[in-house]
Amino acid sequence: MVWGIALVVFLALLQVSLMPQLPLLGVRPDLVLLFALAWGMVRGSPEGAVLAFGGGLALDALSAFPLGGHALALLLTVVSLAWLGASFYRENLLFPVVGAFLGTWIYHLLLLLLAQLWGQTVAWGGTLRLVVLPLSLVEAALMPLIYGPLGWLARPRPARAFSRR
Amino acid sequence: MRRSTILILALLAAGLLLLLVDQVAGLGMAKGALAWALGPLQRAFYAGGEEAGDFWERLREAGRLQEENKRLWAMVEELRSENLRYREIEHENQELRALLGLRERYPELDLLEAEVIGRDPTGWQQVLRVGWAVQEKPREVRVGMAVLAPAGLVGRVIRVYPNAADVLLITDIGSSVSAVVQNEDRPTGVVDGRWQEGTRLVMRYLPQGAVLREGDWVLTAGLRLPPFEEEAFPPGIPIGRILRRVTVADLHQQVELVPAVDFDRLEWVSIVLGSKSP
Repeated sequence: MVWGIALVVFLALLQVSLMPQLPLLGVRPDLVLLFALAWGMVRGSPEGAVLAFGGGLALDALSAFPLGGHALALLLTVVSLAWLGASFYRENLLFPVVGAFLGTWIYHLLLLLLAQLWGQTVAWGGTLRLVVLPLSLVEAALMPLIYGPLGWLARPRPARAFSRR
Repeated sequence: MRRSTILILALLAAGLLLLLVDQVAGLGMAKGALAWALGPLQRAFYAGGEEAGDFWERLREAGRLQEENKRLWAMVEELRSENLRYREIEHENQELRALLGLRERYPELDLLEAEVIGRDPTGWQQVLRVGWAVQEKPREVRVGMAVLAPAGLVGRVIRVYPNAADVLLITDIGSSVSAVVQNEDRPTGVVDGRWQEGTRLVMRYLPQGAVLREGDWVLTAGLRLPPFEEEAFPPGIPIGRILRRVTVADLHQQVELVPAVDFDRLEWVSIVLGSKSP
């Protein structure tokens, strides 16, 4: 968990410094969102929520957004997807892909809403069409690359893996 | 209630509380402290990103010049790391010389040089974070101050931290700048950011009869626009050139502009702290 928080702060730094200079298919992937979502899917919503909140605070410190904005948006996204995902069979490979697609939309809709509440000018149509839509597709495609290794690294111990819950 | 539910509710409450306190009382100090703590790491990462970006660009060129590169590859390998370092130094040197040129061009302005150390993480806001070295005599940077690059106007300061600030680019939809077209007619209007709508800049409120030609330069007019009545962009700073006229059923004309500054390659900027007293 501690290395998870360290990693999420590291990813926040990458997201504001490296990713804008190396856009992927014209968009900048939300590394913190993808990692917190994947962690939440693998290890459960409480751990995902802590990482989402920590990573969000780091993004708040590194961006012009009000303190707590990214933290709240990431937290709600990870928790809501964990809640939605509880009714799906988690071994299904589509689960993380659809989760990343939906998560990108929920996260950016919440951020846009907060930005509007904070009096910033928000171009809803253009932002959703030109930024969020392509970003959600790229992030859905990237998710298996994060979910796969993370699922393997953070898998439950064998003794627990075969026990019935 | 389960422990996990309590944890999630506590985090939600903490997030809401932070937002509300930031809105009501302002958490500038706390955010400033966090930004200060992460600042050195952010600078290092951004510098690493620049090198990675250069490397990526070279790889793309390598695809186009494959045959030639095959012959030169061995030599390139040998010289690459040294070359990278020298290119970075030379590039930085050129950027700083250009900023010095800005001082010569606008001797009446009090300028503070700052390095771009980060960009907005969402991708839908046009915001840069710039940082400057700790100074013996700290000079005050305030919200609303104009930010320039050698090629022209960059934006305005929207948030200030110790030794760093967030800059809203003129291409952001929240940006408005009073402007004048540099031709014999000199019509004035307002340049608005339109990046979030798929274009970059539009100039509005131009009189119907005004002369407007493709390629005409548009400069800052120096008028004060809300909500920054206290701060104005200095007049005569290039904003961009007219690309084409946009047809609108209105009393005014509207034109699309190409920005003078290449915001994707911006590494150093100057913050206009004020005018020097004569």
